[in-house]
Amino acid sequence: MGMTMTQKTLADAAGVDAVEVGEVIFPEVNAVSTTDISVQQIDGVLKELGSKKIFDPDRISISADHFHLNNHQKELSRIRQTRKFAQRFKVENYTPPGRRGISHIHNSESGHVIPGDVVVSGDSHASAYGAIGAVGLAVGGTDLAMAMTLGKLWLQVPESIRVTFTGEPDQVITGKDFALRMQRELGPTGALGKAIEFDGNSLEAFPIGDRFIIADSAFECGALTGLMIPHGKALEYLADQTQREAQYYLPDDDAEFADTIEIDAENVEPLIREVGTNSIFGVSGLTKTVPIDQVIIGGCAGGQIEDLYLAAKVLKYREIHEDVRLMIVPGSVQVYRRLINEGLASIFTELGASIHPPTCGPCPESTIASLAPGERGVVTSRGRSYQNGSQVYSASVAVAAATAVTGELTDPRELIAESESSGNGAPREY
Amino acid sequence: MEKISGVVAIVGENVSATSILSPEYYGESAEAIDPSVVLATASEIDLSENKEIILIVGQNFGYGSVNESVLVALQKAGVQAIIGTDIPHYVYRNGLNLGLPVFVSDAAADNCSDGETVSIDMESGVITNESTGREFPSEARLDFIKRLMAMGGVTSFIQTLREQETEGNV
Repeated sequence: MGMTMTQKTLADAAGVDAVEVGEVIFPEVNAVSTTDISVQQIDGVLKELGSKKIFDPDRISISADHFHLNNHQKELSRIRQTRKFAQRFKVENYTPPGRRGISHIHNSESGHVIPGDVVVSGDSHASAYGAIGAVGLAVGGTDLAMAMTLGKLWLQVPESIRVTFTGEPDQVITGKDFALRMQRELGPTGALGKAIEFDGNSLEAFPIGDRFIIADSAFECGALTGLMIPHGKALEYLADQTQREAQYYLPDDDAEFADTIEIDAENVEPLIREVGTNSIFGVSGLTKTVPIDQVIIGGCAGGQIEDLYLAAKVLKYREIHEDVRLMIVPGSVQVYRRLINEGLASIFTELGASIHPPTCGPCPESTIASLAPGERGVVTSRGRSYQNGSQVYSASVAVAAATAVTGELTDPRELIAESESSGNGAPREY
Repeated sequence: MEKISGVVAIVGENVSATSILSPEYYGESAEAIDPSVVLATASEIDLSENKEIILIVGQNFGYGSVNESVLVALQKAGVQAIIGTDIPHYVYRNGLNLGLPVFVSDAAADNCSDGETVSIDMESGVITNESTGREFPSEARLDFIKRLMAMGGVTSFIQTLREQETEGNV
């Protein structure tokens, strides 16, 4: 029986020819990524172990990406502790707040992580590394301490589900809508502990931002990781990486998958997930108005330059609704610079949007994403439920931008049709 | 043969990580977590009474974050073990790593009620409802998982591996 891409990558990391689903292996990790939210836990375990040094500082990256910007003493102390930790263990790949951006985005941009790698990360969004063909494993602080001490971790080889995206999507149907369609089919536990391997001609055509969103969404179905062959736009994105030579695997023709799902563009519409529930619904089918107070476009999902161009095209020539706070969050400093240098920042600020530095702020409630009781917000990231009577919706950049214009959950196709008839079209071009 | 036991506390389906512990505590040490905040928004169960608890959970318990502070908080609040089905892999994994065993058992989850006393045989995985006398099997565990549980978490396992490497046995 052949092996999946996940099995082949893990077998290589474990130094064996083949691995079977269900067996426990000890794969070596090519990279360990941690952030200011888990350094304290790692430090505690390393102290318990009496570890004075870590296995290979060059494979470690530490990013202070969660708590910037912040005014709370506790979070500021965490940033300081993160810096001190990096210095103590001689980790040169330390990213201070505001320097490179969100860990899995800048690690992919810079070539710290490349196709075929096995990466362990303390960030729940680690499966996003699958966008470039790396196996990203989101783990807790104890696992990170193990990986930093031994250079490997324990892992039960997962089954894989194959998800194929086909067809040519409509101009404002994005990878987010495909991802939400998959989530609706699989449900929150449909891929529990499994890997999802993505493929299909739609995927090849998607910009890198959509690939990150799709790979990240595997976690929402309970998956251990999500993985894609690094083809299509991913190759252009990776072209400037120079640090190591990538070696990645394709699944065997006779690889065994636990399930296969095919999603065709014809069946994909702009979708919205009600965060904190399992409800995913089509925005065009709404029977009542859902007013929105805050829209956040960006972060690690929706914060690539192509995403922001799409947002600008939907927003351009229109006023942001007076009741809406709109925030733009580039995913990395590289995107932030392009946002400014290519004129997008002017468009957003003229319309009244705020531009936030690249951080994880849209997710943890410690920074920018919080809502007051009774408020409703739209994010392009996964979003969090705040347990205070507010409601967050997660949707595509196009839906988020259209919603910022109308002040209520809106199908971007309707907004565009309306503006095309008035001469202000918003085609998706890259 | 080692057994663990405690009073049953039942939690429903799709209880998120942020419902178990607010993100402001993520990354905090156990000492910094007040047990009264654990599960405070998701359940009427008061985990601050210093009881030994066996938590029986609905599907997708703890979803949404891999931060292990969620499991640390449950331990701090007296949780001895988690029993459930369709538990996210990171909750299962973090529990094992921290020495908070997680058992998969439909039957036990369906046949235990709040306030009853339950014991778990760590070797066989058999779950006994001491209040009713009924026994329930749990899903078979790999030898490695049993070993991790017996060692009380992955830290002891790492120490053992390091000692073996130092002695040239690996």
